[in-house]
Amino acid sequence: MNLKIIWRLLKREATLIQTDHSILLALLAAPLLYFALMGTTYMNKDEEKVNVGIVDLDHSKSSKAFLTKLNATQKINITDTYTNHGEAEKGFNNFDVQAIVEIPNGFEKKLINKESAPIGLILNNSKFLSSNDINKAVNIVAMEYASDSRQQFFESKGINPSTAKNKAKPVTAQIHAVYNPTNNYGNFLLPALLILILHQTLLISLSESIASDCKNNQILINFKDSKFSFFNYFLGKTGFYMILYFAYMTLTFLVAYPALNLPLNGSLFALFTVTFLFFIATIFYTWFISSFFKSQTSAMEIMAFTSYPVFLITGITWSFKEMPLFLQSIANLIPLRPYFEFLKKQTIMGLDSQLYNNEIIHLLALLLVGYVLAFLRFNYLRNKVQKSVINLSN
Amino acid sequence: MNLPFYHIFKREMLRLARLKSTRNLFIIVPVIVFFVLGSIYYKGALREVSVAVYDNDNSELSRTYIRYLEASPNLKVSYYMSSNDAIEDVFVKNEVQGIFYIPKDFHKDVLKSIPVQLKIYTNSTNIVFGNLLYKSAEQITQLVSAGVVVKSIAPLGINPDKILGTVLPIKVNTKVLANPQYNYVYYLLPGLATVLLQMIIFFAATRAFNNEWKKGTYEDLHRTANGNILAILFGKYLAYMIYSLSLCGLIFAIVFPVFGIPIYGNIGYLLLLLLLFLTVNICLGFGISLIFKSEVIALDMAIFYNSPAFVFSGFTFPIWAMPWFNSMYAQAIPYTHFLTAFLKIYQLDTPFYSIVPELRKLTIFLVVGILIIITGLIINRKIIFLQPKTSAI
Repeated sequence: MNLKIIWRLLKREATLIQTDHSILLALLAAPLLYFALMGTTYMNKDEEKVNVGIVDLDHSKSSKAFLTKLNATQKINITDTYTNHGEAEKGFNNFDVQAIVEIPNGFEKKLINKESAPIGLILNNSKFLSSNDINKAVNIVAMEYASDSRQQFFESKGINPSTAKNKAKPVTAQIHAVYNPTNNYGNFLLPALLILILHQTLLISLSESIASDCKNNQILINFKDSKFSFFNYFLGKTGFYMILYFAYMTLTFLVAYPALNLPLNGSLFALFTVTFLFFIATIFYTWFISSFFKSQTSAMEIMAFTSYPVFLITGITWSFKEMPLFLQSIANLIPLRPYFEFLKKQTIMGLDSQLYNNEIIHLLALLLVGYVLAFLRFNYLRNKVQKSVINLSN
Repeated sequence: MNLPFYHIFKREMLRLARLKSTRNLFIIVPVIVFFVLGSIYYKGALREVSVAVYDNDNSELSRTYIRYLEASPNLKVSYYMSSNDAIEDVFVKNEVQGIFYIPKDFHKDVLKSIPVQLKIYTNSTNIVFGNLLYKSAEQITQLVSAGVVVKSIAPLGINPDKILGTVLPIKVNTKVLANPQYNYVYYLLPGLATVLLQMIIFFAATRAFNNEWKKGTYEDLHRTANGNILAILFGKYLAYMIYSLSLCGLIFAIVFPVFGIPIYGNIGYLLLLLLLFLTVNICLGFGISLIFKSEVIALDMAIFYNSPAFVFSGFTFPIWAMPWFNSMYAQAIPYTHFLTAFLKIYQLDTPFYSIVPELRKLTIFLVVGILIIITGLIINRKIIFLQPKTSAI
């Protein structure tokens, strides 16, 4: 390892980045802009006041009281009042409202007569989040009525109000959404999304740089200048990215996380160390894959489409165990998979290190695989370059 | 046919067929990505989510409660905790997504009319599990609670016809439209496939003109069209449209049937929507291609503009919950409007009038696309409107 050579290559890479607007954009502008755009998108963490339409065919005090209670919930905003089902269906089809609550004629009468009064709830389930929130809110209000009705019955039988209240709700569920107390969407997705932004911008910019080297025969010059040493070449070529992504990592955990109110429960030292290892593993893999691209545009076209598959295959939005075995195997070869597991256990769950050691070992194994792949590819290309140099000199 | 437009169309079809980029964008990327994404969610819905139970009462009622948990299709009691187990350890070591804690004296307290709270811990680092467990826990607990109430009111004297009305005065009859199966493949794959469709078309179109300049084939293009720029634009547009429609064919005739995704709506409306959506993306891509001579920079623009389209579409997180700036940005992406109309047609089978607002918005994008094309034609007029070469004297 020769520090002078590494420094020379590092400066050359910095110059390439400075002069290549595309790499500059992917490396410096994109992470910051995406952080701002994506981070603020989920800033409110959860939705509130979803548009709901009503059809009140009863026009009674009871139906109005029920709808007022519904409107008072955090998730529901009654925006449209329809006079009949047909009109409501039109609003529903136009997506003016995400659900319709229909109160049939005779609602109040049935309540007074102690008969079960049915109401209709039509949900637009094309988007799960809103549909679930409305469904939950309507059922909570219906359960409040159930509790009141039961209490009134017990009181009518001479039981004192306090005991009647206890008897009305003998068993309740106290649900604690552990590690995400409000079960909100922002805390669920943002930690992984911020890392994905860094991962993808690193992937695209580095692959552009390598593809540019391959196309302009710069790879030959870099190999020569590195004295054909893997360490000299690799540290010189990717050192700039390592330093920059260390800075981005600091920005993510020390600025973006607090700004977006995301949890950081574990040790910062462990977090920074493992995250840095993750970036190095990503750099090895990226260098290996990019060395096959012949042009920047091909590299960009392919890499741009990896965002959704590499993110979703990690099981971040689904159950990893429910995926087909071949996808689980592929996912286990991607550094994002163990890193996301580590991130979840370390920063969100705040677990003891022994409970995420497996993820660190997994990541280290992938780091080793990435290193071996990059090393073998480097040797192959070096031999090819050396042969072509000999042929030229002959 | 001796029409310049036809010659350009034919030339473009062949040019695209020879481009590596076309092979990458129209074959390799969609085939791999669509099938990987579909396979991730191939099970459709989550069933039998692993949960642990800590029965600190060990009574008849607690066992009844556990039997309800075991009978739920959404839950699978995979671990019975002992007093030595710590909650955090059980989540990680036993890989459960929820823990049901039944307190001591559960049964006795219920008999004594002392309200009992069952504690349920859900691992909400993944809200898909969190929501499912919440729903199941509430349903089962309410069922057990209602059973206890019924048993306690019966001896007090009540007309049997009034029991249901007393215990459950309001019955919510829920009708779920658009994906009533709560199937994740039906939910996510069409959205992801169509956002990738936009990206692919857009990326390909951003290289329609600058690639000709880069390869030095623009003069040939100009000559083939007899200098008619409109013929160049329409000929290229038609060729891109054919390729785009073939991609739609892959999505709707292969990917959808393979993963069993139903299309409830009118195919004619869907085709009309797709034609407009594809045209918008081709035009926007052409505009960028005409403005930026560098393919790489044009592609950068396309990636930057399109990458967040899915997040901003409001599909997984509603636009109304986003801050105003993000909400405005969402409106500036054609996919947002396409998706709304697409969901209306394919999931809700709505009548044509309901997609008219989205068609109008997409038409505005089309006008914007044409304006960008005109801007590109003006900016780079010297290399677009080539002058016939005069022989040197």
